[in-house]
Amino acid sequence: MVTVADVTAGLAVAEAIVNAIVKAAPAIEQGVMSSVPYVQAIAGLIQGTNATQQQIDDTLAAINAASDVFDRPLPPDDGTTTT
Amino acid sequence: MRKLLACAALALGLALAACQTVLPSLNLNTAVTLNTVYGIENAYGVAVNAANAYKSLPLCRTGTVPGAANICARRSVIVNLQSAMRRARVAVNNLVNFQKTYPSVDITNVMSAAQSALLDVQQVLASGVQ
Repeated sequence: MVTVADVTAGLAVAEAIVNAIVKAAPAIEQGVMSSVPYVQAIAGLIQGTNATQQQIDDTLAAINAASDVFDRPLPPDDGTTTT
Repeated sequence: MRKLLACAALALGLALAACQTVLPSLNLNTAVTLNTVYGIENAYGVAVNAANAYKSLPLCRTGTVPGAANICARRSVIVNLQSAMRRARVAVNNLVNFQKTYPSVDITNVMSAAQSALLDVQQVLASGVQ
């Protein structure tokens, strides 16, 4: 037997999930969109397109730049984000 | 009978010789190598973007764990991921440099190193959702 309290609690959980997703959405969307060219390139290889040296060099330069961004250190931990 | 066999062998030899003269100039080994390198490189690109997307999430608060209602990145996972990504970067750059420097040499060893480094990245990324 489902009670009103159960439904209310369920709605609260659902709301928390939606809020969390909405907050994280730009980061997730950015990650997905940035990956599109790489996924397309892999799909092209599967379909039989041959890679060129120029493509390899250009792609590596782009990835190394993105890798530099990722390698930047995190802000120091003040104890609130020790996980 | 011997003459017949000799003629057949000669004809076969000529046919093979003719084939050799019309073979395409494309170096298949090189094409395969380029495609392999490009494939690994793009897989690495996806991994770097996934890592950047993860890093751009809010950091998990101390004592909390990531979940559907608490989408966050664990500091320890990012630090581990940075270490794994540095190794992957070196391995993939080595692969590309090796292929450029020695275009006709087998890339198996450097390719395996890059694949292994990318698997490590994948494992650290997967640990981020636990």
